[in-house]
Amino acid sequence: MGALLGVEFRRYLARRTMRVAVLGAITAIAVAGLITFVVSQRPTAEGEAEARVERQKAFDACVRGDLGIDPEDVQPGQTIEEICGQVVSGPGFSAPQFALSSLPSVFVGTSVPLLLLAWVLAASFIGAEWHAGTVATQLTWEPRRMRVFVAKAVVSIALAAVLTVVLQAVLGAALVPAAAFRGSTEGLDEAWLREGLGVLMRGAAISAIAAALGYSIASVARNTAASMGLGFGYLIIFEQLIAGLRPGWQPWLLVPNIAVFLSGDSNLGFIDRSVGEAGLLLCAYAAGAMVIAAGLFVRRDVT
Amino acid sequence: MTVIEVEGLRKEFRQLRGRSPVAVDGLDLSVPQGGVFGFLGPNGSGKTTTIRCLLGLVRPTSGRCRLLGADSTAGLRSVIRRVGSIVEAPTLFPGFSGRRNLRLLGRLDGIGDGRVEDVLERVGLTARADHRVKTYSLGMKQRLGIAAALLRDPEVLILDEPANGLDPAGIKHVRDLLRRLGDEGRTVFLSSHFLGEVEQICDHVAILSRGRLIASGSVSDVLSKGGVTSLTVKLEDPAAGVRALGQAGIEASLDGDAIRVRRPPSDAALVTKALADRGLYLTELRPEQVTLESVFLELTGTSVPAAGLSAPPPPPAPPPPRPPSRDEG
Repeated sequence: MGALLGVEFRRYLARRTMRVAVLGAITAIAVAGLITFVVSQRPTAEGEAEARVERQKAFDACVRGDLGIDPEDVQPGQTIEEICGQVVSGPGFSAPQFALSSLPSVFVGTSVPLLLLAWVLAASFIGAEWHAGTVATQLTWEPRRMRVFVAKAVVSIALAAVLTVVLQAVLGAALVPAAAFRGSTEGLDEAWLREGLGVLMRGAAISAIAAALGYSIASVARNTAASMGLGFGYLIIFEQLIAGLRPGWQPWLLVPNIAVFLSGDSNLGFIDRSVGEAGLLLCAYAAGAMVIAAGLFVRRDVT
Repeated sequence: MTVIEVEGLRKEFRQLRGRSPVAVDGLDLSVPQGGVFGFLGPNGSGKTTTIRCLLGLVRPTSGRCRLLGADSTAGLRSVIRRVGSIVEAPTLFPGFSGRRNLRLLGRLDGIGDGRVEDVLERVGLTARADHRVKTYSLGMKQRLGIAAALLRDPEVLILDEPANGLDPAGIKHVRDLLRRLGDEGRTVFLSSHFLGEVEQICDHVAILSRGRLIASGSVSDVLSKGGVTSLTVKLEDPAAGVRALGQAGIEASLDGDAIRVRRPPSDAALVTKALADRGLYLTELRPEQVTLESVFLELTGTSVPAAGLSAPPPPPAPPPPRPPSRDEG
């Protein structure tokens, strides 16, 4: 099994798709770091005073209901002042200063494209092999199909998680100059570190789950495009339809559970599920898809 | 010792609608150890499906296949390291170089880079080994596939159409290589469309038609199954010859400037006498040679284009003779 894993590992890393994807991601990170560095500005005393006035005006407008929040709709236990206080503390009401303390939120946002990347890479890893016919060649070297399936799956899933962590780390490093020289490095305490690592690990886990789903569908369909089309079609169209037509099914859908798990916040208002439960449910879905794909990989004819 | 045993093999490819096509229908086959074994059949006769069953890629509907004594559906693992194969067409990673492909395969079995260089040299691919496989010609891909099959130094080689796409020099190279491998005591199980090549290098052949075995044995045994062929007769006036033979009750037809007589070589004296009795004296009489191709076509009842069979391309036909001009007298 070690030799098989080693070969699959080399094959995955040597793929052009993988190299192009990593190069593209690193280029995008470098551009994002540069833009953040240019845009970020430390506030002056005069600018702070102007911002305070703007914030107060916006707060007053919000309380009057001019920002689209109707005071009548405020839930019991909350006040319109609390809600408007949160609104005016967000972006657009303060100086464009990048604070490294916001890195965990950045990681939550970038986890989404990274999970899509993980899906695509895993699907294309097995899909391209079916397309080229190399699965048959490999099975004439290692006829134990389950081993072949597991080796490819392990490599796809593990490298998706590692790639997510590495790219997020590179992104963090790319944003450090903006925070250090033109922004803020305040608030980098133990809680921040814990939160950041938590988001990083959950992002890696979500990428691994996405890779498992992408790999499973491509393995069953024996095609990369089918996995991508089915996956993205399901997430973008089908889940939205279900959420609209059957709101009661929402707790069992992928997107709300991904949102809860990734954000680490069970009070997002989508579903009543804890972060751990959302993670377990997603793992169960991925495991189910893998079991079906493995069964079919072992049983079906290779023609 | 028998290296490959197929007993009552049947394979249906199940379909949701309509009848399930039967690729192989009760095939029995036995391949002895050592030498080159030709596995022949028209397109769709079940050759590749049989090979896939042997290699565990396809599950038989019924019957069983044994390779080096191991059952292909359950026990292949114990013998697979003694087997090298190409199925249908060699499929390696198109984005990787030939050398990298072979090294990755070799690592699965702990085969070192030295062996990779040996097989590249053996198939004549060393100079292009670092180029991507997708830049290779079909012939080069075939040779790379053969190199991959040889990587394990196998006792048994199962090669499905290894000469496809090769130019005449490549065909000769592969033919010599396979013959050498057979002479080394390995068993080469070869499916091929090139009947002339098969006839030259195989010790034994089996002919398949519509999923069934219709002939099997040594090449000479199978050739002897070819029935009556014909005689080719030449004389000054072929048209008169055809009439004369017809009058003698011998079926004959014009074939260019010769006459084709549908009689076995043993009837040559009868033909000669029939012509001489009518004042026609032949200039040439020769029996048509029995070839594997003619036996194949006779046994399978197929024509060359329909069967998708071919011999290596014939040399271009000579230009037709120029009619004598008045000046030439």
